[in-house]
Amino acid sequence: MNLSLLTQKIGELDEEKVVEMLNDFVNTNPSPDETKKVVAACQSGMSVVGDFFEKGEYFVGDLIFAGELLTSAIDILKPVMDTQNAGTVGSMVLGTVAGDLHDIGKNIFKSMAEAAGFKVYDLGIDQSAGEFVKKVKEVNPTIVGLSGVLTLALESMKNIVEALEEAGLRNNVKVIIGGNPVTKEACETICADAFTSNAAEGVKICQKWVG
Amino acid sequence: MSDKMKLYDERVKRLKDAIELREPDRVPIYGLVDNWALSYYGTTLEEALKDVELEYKAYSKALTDFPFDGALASRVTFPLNFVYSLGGGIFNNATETIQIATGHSEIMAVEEYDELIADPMKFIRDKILPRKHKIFQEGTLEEKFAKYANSLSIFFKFGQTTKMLADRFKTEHGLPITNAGVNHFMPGDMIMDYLRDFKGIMRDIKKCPDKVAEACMAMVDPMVKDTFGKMRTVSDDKYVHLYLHLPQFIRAKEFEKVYWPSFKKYVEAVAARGVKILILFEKNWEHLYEYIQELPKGSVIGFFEEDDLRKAKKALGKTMCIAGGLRTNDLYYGTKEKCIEVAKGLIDDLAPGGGFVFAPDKVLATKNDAKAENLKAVTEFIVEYGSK
Repeated sequence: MNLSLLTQKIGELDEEKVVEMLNDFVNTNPSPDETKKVVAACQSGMSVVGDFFEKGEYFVGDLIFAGELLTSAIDILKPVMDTQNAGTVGSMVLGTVAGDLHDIGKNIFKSMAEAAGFKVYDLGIDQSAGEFVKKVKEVNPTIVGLSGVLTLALESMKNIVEALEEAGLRNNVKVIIGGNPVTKEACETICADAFTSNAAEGVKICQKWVG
Repeated sequence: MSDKMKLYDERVKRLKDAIELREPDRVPIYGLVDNWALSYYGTTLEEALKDVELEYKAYSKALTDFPFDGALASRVTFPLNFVYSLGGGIFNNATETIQIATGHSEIMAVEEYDELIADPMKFIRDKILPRKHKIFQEGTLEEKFAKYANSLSIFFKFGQTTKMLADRFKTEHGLPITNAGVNHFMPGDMIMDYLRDFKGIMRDIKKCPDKVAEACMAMVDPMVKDTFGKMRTVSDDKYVHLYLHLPQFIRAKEFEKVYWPSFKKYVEAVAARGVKILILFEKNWEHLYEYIQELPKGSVIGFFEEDDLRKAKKALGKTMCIAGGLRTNDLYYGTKEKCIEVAKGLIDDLAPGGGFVFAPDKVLATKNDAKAENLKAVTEFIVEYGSK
């Protein structure tokens, strides 16, 4: 398996070639260690996609397609993967905040975070402070990701951070807010640790936190 | 002529001058107000949907407390009661503003593009509507017809009431509501919103762009027909409204292939009849200026959300009137002084020569989209400062 070619083809969103390469690879009956390297090459391909996005060569549609491509790639590899010892770099609880039903940005971020090796607990859309607190208590994540598109999301984000504080959980997690309305000022008001409106950049921030 | 009618005509002319790329007597201010009106008045979407008079009170307060020269709509913009009568849709009003729940509208298979291309109306009527709406899925044929007739009566009532409310804005407040009941998404948006959903169309654009482009093209003629079925007469105070949201997500080359030809054809057909077109260019369109500068000259008022308006004016100013400018974030979180400073800068740079209309950068949808005192301060400043 030519790992750098695989990374390149994922970066180029060449689905046919990627599927062909992975099927050929699975047919060689590879060891879990070999598969691990192939998974890593796929993940690197996702970072290439993120870089193209940051440079303005790719758009949101490309990120969505890349997420789908990665999901099918992992599905092909699953039979030969050692899922027991997959190992994650960190975990996060993610959700679109109360009052907001938008999930496109959140889903893109989720697939890119998963590609980067995070275990993501996705709460879905329109999630209250209570739901976030409950999940954080349950899974004890490294990171909490709050997403929203409408301006009203900012208020919900603030409520959630306050609720984490009240529950005594705030110091155990890093909070990143993402989406259309987030700004530096909003981030300060909300008392989040970071903000972004760019999924690829968001994943990089999270990687720094666990790195 | 009554004072209100005089005011109405002045406002219509002010906007017309701007759209036709002449310098108006002052910078027009457009009331890009939607569900924000409800929280500003102190009611909710749920209450307003039950009571037209309440809806009017809320919208008339939000649209006349500020010196707007024209406004997007006289009421809640989507016929939700009609959608509910069909057995529901992808809209959700459990929140304080109308939102679409994504991921629920992939109801056409990729293999069906050929049917859509062959006859869009037939395909949507015979295949999609029965899949989409509950009332077509149960009961006898007679029962289905009865329910459908009931739904249609709700839809027609919505149309009549909307027109009646716009007339009241004209006579009671001298305020043009530019919405003529023709609110369209372009074919590419319709395929995304109603047929293939987000993931589906993004995949199609990569895997079968020719089919998407053909389907879009096939939908133009029925849309033009629908437009002029609703808009029998052409007048300066009524525009066709378009809300475009697919292009922001795709590359320029993809836009050129799948979206642009049908979009251009539709706009040209409408402009050729002398109708003005209000277009909400959602998110950022900077990568697409080289295309949209070819739209018919002096016919379009383009609202931009995240573009740098100065760049937009430079690239597109010979073609269309540029509208927008004040970030909703500033309107809510900023100070009056900050809002006025932004407005002053925009007027200094964009007003000379005409072709500029001031508005928030996004439709005011929820209470956090604008603080009333900021909106008031900035609009009153423009009335004074933006005059010749």
